[in-house]
Amino acid sequence: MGVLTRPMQRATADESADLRAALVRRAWATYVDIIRS
Amino acid sequence: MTRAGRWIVMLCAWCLVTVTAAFATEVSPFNLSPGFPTALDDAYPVNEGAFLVQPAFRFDKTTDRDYVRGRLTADLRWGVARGVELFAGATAIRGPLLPGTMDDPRAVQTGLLYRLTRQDQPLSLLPSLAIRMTVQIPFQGPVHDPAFRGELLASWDLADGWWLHANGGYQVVPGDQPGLQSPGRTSVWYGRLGVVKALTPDLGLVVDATYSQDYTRTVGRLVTPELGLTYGLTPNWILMAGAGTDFGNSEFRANVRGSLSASWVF
Repeated sequence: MGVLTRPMQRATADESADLRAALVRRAWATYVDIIRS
Repeated sequence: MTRAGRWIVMLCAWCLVTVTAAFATEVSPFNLSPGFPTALDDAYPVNEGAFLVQPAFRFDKTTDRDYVRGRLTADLRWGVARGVELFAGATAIRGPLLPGTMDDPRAVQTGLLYRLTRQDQPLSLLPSLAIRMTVQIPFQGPVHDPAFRGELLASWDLADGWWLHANGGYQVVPGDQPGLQSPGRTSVWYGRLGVVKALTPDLGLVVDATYSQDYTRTVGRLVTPELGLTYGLTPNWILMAGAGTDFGNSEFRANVRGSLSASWVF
């Protein structure tokens, strides 16, 4: 049970970090768009 | 339905469409608003279609008092079109009125930011330029005439996560409204210069200084350096904190002034 749970938790944390990184990139792109357009 | 009624229905429908389209719009933590986190403003309006709710706790401790004065304010900003931002704000809870401040705590502040020009590319000399026009309409107190503020805003993208902002402003007030500038001071000009540095893609440092006529009395000047942080917690939430101090001869100058604020985007 523990063997199954730990990789799943790690994957969830990684997905969360990826999602946040994507959101931050998108917010940055939006700001650049505001500045240039 | 009368013509006025049709216009109201059309306006409501437009607001609804715009706000709905703005759902989950992202606003950068580096896009400044005056008072969020410091007085420094930029020439960049909020995103087209974005709607921001900005609550803030503001405090100051002036030299004539031995306690900290607090205020709770709320501002709304709406990117009504490309390059145009409408805003309105008011003070919900306040401490003593005196010494007076640039914002009347017994008035609604409303106006618009209009983008005039844009910088072609980072490091180019010609900045992004915008004007911000603010009217303060008192809803309490002895004065019912509005006060007006006009500001010219210039912003340079310096590349590598650096932005330089310059603000010049002039405010005229009807006078005799306790809490809005000093009695006898019916106009104030000021200039402000500051930078924003993106420490990380979601964390910004704001450093600025304001040189102004002393609005707490009828003579003198004030120099106000400030420091602020802004953090994009989620796509919808930006948290901010700022603090500064006044240098000058006034007994009403702030030893410390600051704010804790947030932007909620929807």
